[in-house]
Amino acid sequence: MSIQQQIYNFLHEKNPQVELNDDTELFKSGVVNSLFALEIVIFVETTFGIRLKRKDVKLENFESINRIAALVERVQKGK
Amino acid sequence: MAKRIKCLVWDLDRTLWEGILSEGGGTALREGVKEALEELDRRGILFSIASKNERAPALRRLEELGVADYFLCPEISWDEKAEGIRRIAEALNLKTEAFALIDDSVFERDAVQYALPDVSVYPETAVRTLETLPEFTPRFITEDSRNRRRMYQADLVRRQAKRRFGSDEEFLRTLDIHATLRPVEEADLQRVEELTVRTHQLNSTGYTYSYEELAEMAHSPDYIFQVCGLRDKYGDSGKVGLLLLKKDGDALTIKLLIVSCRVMAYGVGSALLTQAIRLAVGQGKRLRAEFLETEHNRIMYVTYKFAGFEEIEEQGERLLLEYRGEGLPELPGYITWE
Repeated sequence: MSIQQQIYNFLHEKNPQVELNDDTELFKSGVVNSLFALEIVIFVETTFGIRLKRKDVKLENFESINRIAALVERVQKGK
Repeated sequence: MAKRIKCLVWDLDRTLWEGILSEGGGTALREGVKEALEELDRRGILFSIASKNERAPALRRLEELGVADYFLCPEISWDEKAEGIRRIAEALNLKTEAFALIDDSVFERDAVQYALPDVSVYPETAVRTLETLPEFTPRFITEDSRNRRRMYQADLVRRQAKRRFGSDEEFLRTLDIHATLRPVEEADLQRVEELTVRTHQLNSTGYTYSYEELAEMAHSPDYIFQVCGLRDKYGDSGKVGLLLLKKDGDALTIKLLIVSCRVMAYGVGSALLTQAIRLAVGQGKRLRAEFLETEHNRIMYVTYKFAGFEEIEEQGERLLLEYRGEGLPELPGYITWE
């Protein structure tokens, strides 16, 4: 399963009523909010076996499924 | 800081009660147990159970002995006790380091210590002396500590209800959450101190202040010091959050942002942060926040960053963040502010 697909599955399960594609703006669409911020950070870390540094934890990196996937790939390569 | 036990996990046979239930024992609590339960409960220490027994008869016996209500999420099975303690900690949203086990079996005590070195263990003979130990002695006993068990019980009911709903926000709307935010008063100070000492995860700096310092800041014109209360349809959660801002010329600096772990799922941390942002924007001031990374408070860093804060300064372990968002952020729609 691609990184995008895994993130999609996670978000879709949490928000079955929202139509999602890889570029949907997650904050504007209400899929990701402050309540959910830590959950998505922890999901990404545990699912892809990475540890995000402080500088990686920022809104831009979580704006869409594609942005999250890019972050994951970047951090995985950096290891 | 001295270790504080938040949850004491009891073994049953030959520890909580006399004898062995499956061999006809368990007809009476051991001497001193009732007194220990009453006193530690009054201090706000929670109880649970890790016992290798048949679950249904053991629970029935606890009821017959009139003590069932004291215990949250009892783990009564043939599983390893360390595993049980892990599950209790997860259900109560506490770290295992805040746990202690009282058990007559030296084997069980050692096994738990081996698997979870941060859990304190006591033999059954310690029951009379527990209340004299510093780890079981909070500095203050507040209204909230006396009610802590009931609040956790309500919280467990809430979480069971939550499983039936889809998104968190949808669920939170059904809870009829009401919050208050008002200046800290004299009568709040003991609870305020308790929050600063007890809260580790949802604590932006971990700064602790003496009772006297807290009182001074509550009265000082240089600070904005507010306490947040919360209630929902399950009951009153008491005072669950703190916001301490220092006035620095054209900026306000958040020195403390603390939210009790009990209401973590309610998003109170970011709601309080939104209140702080709205306050600063309303006064035409910049909003900064000190942040001191600890082992446990990463969630607060995420909260700040996702709310639009950026790091502007790093001094050793201390970070200074500044709000760079635009406009007036909206408060979450599922909380009614009074």
